[in-house]
Amino acid sequence: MKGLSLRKIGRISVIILAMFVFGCAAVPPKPTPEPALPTKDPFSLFPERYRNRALEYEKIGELRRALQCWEIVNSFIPADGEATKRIADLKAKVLTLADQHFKKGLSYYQKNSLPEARKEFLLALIYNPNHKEALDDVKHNLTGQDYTVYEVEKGDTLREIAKKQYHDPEKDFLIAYFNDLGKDLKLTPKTFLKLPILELTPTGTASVSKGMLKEEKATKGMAAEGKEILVNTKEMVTKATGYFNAKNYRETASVAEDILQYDPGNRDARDLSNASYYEMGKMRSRDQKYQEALNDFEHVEPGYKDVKESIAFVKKQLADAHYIKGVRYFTNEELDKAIQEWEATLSFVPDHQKAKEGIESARGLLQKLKEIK
Amino acid sequence: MQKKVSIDLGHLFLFGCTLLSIALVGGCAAPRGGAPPAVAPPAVAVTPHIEARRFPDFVAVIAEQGDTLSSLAGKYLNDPSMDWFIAEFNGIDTLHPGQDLIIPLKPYERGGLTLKGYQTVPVLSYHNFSTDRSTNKMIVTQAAFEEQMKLLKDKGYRVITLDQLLDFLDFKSQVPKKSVVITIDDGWRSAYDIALPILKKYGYPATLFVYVDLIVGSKKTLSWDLIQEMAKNGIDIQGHSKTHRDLTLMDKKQTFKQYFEEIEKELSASARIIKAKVGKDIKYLAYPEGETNHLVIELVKKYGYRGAFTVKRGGNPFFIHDYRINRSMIYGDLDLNQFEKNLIFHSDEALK
Repeated sequence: MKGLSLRKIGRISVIILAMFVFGCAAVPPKPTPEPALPTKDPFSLFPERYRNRALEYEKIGELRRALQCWEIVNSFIPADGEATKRIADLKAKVLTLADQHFKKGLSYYQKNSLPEARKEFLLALIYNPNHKEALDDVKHNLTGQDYTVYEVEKGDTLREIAKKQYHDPEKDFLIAYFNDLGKDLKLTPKTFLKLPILELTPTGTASVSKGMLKEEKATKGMAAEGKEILVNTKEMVTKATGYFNAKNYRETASVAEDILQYDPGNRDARDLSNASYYEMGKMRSRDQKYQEALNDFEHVEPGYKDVKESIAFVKKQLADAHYIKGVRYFTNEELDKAIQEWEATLSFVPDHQKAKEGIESARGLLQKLKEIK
Repeated sequence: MQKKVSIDLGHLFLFGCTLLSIALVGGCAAPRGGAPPAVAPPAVAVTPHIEARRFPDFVAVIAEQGDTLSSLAGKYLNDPSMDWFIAEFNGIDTLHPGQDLIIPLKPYERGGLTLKGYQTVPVLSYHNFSTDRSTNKMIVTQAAFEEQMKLLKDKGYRVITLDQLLDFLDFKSQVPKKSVVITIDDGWRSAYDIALPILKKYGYPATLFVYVDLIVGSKKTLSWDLIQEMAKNGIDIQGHSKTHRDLTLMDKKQTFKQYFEEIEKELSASARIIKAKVGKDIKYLAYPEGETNHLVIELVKKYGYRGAFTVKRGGNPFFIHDYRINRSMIYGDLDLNQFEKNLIFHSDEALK
């Protein structure tokens, strides 16, 4: 600093001052070409992230969500082989699972096991939210219809139908109202009419639900100490008949059983119960669901139609199925299991000769094996 | 002399430092032409604009500064209130610049149905309100109502409309996981004086089910003018019959036909009067006394109602009967914990 003259210091100051006053712009930097940056796809992380999510969802069984994630991966990388394959596999799998659960649901529904049916229909919708039948069942059929369907017979008039269905021809106006018909309109056989379900007590003072009837019965029963309880079985029979005419056998059986619970000697209810279980048994038998068919037929009184023969038929089918299973076990040298199956055969058809012989042979062989050991 | 030079050099150094400071503060980027130096922006990472990528079923987005879930919902779903739809799909509550997310363009979880269970939507049923204290069960105090509405906000519940509820019940669309519906029955004046300002404060939609014979504009009851004003303020006006008679009960002296004509009139007159006074068709019914049966339901359907409400306590899964929708009555003697017990939004009962 000592060697600097005041003049020199002044010059430097002026230069610095000029630089600061005019700023960087005063001395424009020489433009240098920017190095070309590699253009990175800002969405490049998406496919990997959703691939991982898809795999996680698959692990916990949330297949629909997994499918959604794979579809996101596939949208970004249409050529991604793994995503394409997983989408195809998952689509097939969810449809199969949905269908399996739906069928299971139907089976429970026919057996009147409604909570189980609901669960299966919901599972069907989880796997396939577009499953229209599962949605219809869980949303409408399981919640119960508010009307019955009546098939018009030859010669029917609204008054006659009202008499048959409501035990009151004056209620013909109700049928006309809910079916947009003129009161004197000629009805066409084989057409269907919608009949609202009426829930009126015998006194006609209150409309109550089936559940309330039970409650009323309990309360009155306690108070009246065994006196006859007023339960409108006639209305309930009408209701059950409506269900039966609408081929809703499950509901028919349910209502008929409710009536029989209060009035075990009610012939109409017994007939409806017989008829509905018989029809359900026949349907299941046709579908080769012999165990379910047997369960239904066993609810039917022995003298009803050909129920005895029907039971014998399904038992034979069940016996044969067990017999064949037994043969398979036998050829696989699983003798204990073969015996079990043949014993099951005999539980359905006690004089099944082949099963008897099979058991004898298997037991003989087991004995010989014991001796060799 | 030496001393003097030293002093001058020191001044010069200080002068240089001052200039340097000015230059640094102003910065090279300071605007020219004597404009004051700009204030430096807060230190926030500025993200470059990245065009969203659209696919048939979703849009992939990288959030920019200023984006919110609501603004993105407005931009891509045409409805800013669908922010929850984006948030729930991406498992996020908030958004920050640079965050990437997927915006689904169609429902991805109808009915809130998964292997873990399904969504239930509670519908709250209020009747009357008072400013001071509750003199009976059906009257909720202003303070309690305010507290309950605040709880809904604080705990992240979303109040939805009846149309949204019915779309959910039809398995057509999904609603926020913690959805709740607010309804007020009858047509008491307090619905306008007390409930409306609080609902407006929180921005909640609500439905007023009126039984038209009550609407006489007395000290305690609403007038049609007030109802129209409520309707203008986002309150949905729906039916609760004409006289509030229990539709399931038949008078001993009546014939069945007389009874039927009477209940039919309950529905037709209320629909006609509300249409005339409020200028809209009604779609929903709250059963008087909450009571219904098969015949009433068929009649309600015949009149074109889309749904009807009982007062059976409990949330509503999508598979509830559309004409037996549950509502939970909110009584004046409920404390906040008891109130909250009505807000059940998930169940796995039917999947067990």
